[in-house]
Amino acid sequence: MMRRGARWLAAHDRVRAWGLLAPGTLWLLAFFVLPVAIMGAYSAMERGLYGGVEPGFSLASYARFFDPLYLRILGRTLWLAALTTLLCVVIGYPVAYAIAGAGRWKHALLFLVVLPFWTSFLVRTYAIMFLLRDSGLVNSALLALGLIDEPLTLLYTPGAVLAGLVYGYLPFMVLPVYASLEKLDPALLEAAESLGARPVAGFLRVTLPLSLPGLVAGSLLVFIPSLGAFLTPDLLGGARQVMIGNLVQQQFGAGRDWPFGSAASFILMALVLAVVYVFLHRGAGALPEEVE
Amino acid sequence: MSQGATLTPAVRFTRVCKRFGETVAVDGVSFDVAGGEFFSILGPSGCGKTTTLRMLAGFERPDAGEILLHGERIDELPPWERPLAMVFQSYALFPHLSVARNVAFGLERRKLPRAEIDARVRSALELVRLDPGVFGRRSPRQLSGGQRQRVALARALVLEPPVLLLDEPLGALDRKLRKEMQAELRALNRELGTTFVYVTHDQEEALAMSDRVAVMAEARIEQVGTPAEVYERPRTAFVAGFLGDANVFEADSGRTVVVRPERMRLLRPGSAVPDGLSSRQGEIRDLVYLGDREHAIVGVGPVDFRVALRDPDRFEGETWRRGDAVVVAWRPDDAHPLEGA
Amino acid sequence: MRRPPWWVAGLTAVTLCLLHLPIAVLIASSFNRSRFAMRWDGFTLDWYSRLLERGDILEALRASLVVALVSTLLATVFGTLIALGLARHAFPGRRIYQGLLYLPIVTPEIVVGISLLVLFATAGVTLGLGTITIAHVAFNISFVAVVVLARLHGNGRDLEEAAMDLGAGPLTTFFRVTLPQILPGVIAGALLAFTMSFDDFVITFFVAGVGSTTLPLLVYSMVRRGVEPTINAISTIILAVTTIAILIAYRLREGESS
Repeated sequence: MMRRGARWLAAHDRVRAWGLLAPGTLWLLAFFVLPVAIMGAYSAMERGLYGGVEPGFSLASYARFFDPLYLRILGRTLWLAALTTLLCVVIGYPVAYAIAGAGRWKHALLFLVVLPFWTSFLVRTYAIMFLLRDSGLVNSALLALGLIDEPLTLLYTPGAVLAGLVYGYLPFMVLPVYASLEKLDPALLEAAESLGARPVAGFLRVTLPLSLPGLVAGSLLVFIPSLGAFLTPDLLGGARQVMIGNLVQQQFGAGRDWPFGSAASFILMALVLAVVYVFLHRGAGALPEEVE
Repeated sequence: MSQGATLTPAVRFTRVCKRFGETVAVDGVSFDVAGGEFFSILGPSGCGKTTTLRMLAGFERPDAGEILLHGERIDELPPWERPLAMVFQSYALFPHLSVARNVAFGLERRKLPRAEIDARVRSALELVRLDPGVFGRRSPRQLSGGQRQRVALARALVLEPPVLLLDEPLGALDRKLRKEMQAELRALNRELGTTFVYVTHDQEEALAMSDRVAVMAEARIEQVGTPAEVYERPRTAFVAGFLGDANVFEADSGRTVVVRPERMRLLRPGSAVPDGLSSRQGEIRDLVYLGDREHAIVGVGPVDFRVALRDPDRFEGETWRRGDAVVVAWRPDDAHPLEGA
Repeated sequence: MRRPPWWVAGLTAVTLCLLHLPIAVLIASSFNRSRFAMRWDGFTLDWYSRLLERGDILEALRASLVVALVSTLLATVFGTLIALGLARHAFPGRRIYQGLLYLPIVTPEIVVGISLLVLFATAGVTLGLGTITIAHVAFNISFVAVVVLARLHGNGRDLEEAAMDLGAGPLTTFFRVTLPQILPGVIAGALLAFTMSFDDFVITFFVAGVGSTTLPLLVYSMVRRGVEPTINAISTIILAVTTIAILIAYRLREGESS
């Protein structure tokens, strides 16, 4: 009996596959797909008098998003996410480059980059707060050096949010860039040099283009969570540096406008998926393939 | 290269040394390469031949000694300032550039006008027998090993370097293609008049292609000479053994000598040994079939001699069998004394 | 890759220092007698001993550990099964499924949290440790599946087929051959899931109810009320726990590659 059962299973690969997939898939259907679907439905309903929703179909919540007040929040979100990505490229690329060329030290150095990133995001955000507050290390150091007479307001500024985002997501840039530089055949650079390329030309013509896939992946990995940031602007930005994530949260908290909050969530998700799509399709096409 | 002695050599190494940490990679190497010469550096892996070439290219700096190119010192120059071009073992084609852009790379660094670059790229591709119209826009990934090899060659030759460096360029090709490329490289060397410095561990390749060969072992040059010289008159036991089958033994004079298998012949015991030939008595231990020839392993006392059997032996109706008692004979002037042995 | 120029190496050294500075300052401050100022007033364990007097902190730690352990167990089992199904079987739509598997990873946490809140509210489920655990399993399944899948792609089916040929049934083959092979990947995935659950704030924030406070939620509410030295002490403990988990995961991966 057992033997026959086993043979039947072996013959029905598809059945076995779905058997293995079933528990996790059902869980994800119930607690990821279904909630998002319900939220989608809510985004097209009307706001209930005391929170919740009223049945009925309305696109008013999406229309409301085009209010200049909310467009400004959208603009700030895109701007901060783009700036974060740019800063991560500028800061992260040299780090990845240096580690890839560090010989036997590279694994230890890579570990140093990854270690803070593995630890609690909340704790790291708090650490930035602790550093930037009026009596924090940065202000204390500037006062002690006599560069300023009274503490600067560093917290609750766009700069603080930016610092938090870059600090939070920098390793996401370093790792993929490192991976693509590490794969680079050193003979390619030697070939370039023997063909007359000085180090700068060798970098611009060989190293940089060949590390572009890593840069694209790193940018994606930094840009996406920056778009959806909630905790960083909440703790470091305060009331005036609201990003989409905070807008969503407000609607489900004090605002009690679930349809609008759902619509904002959907817009955020659409933005993220659009970015993923563009990066994966266009981004791959923009890679230096001057080939048919 | 008879004129090499009077003209300034294209490349000159004078007591060049290089060590990596504790290991000595190149130990006091000196040699000259004449202009237009096809010069090979031959040796087993780890003998220092690639390091020697990389010092010439500028990727490594010598710890001591001088490297001259056409009489001028270059060992302080960075690679991009040396008028050399190199073909790499892995080809090192830029995977993100098309074939044409790969070949154009060096010309673009020299900021030549576009039209001239295009024209020179075309003729370089034609030189290595790749149709520019067909291959120019392809990616290196879409090419076969032999085609990649040709692109690498075109990329180096398009700069019209006075000296071309080749680091085991044929290692990854199959035997038939390798033979073809050997002939083409040889032809290019003759047609273009470019000096070739060629690194290989394949002694057959070195003998077939080179004007002269430098045999390296353990960071030193053992012998430099024409293929015939290093093969027929090896100076050391290492050179004798590395370049082919060799019988190294103590001659009657008491000196250690080497005799190549094809310079020995077998006779039946009792038959008259021709005048002036040296000989030893032995017994055939084994017969080794090698396709184009056959070797008899003859036990002479404690040593084994390798003797090439020639077709004439067969025409004469001689058939040799294992266990036959034989006489091994050779001309004394084919027995070359070895140094330091 | 070749050695970087000195200025790139210098820049990297500065960046690496800045990366660790905030955490180093935080840890140092947790042992500093001074309450507010950036001045070293002497070593103290006061802030840690104060933690022990606070029942809410111990309660939150217990809640965090329970949620992390239970959700890690479930997510590891589900995620490993998915990875096995994807790596070892061909079925129509496999590539699409594999692509969709990344959806929970790229979806902003806030969207995941809010949508679960909406679901639980609609279904009338009381928020508590149960809903937190459900949410953590949901966001961890994909991570575990991706990590184990990477490991499974590394080794072929040869051993399994050999075992089957020798007459081992599917279950014997799984426990004797497949599982030992992928175990390092499974443990690495589990440790990842554990730290993600133990650290999670955003999703937990939305699906937690009254009286189900995890450690990150407690830290958050303390931070909102203002900087105080006990937060530094809790943060240091959280850092220590996650760092130990990461070191173990790293060791496992190193053992794997050698």
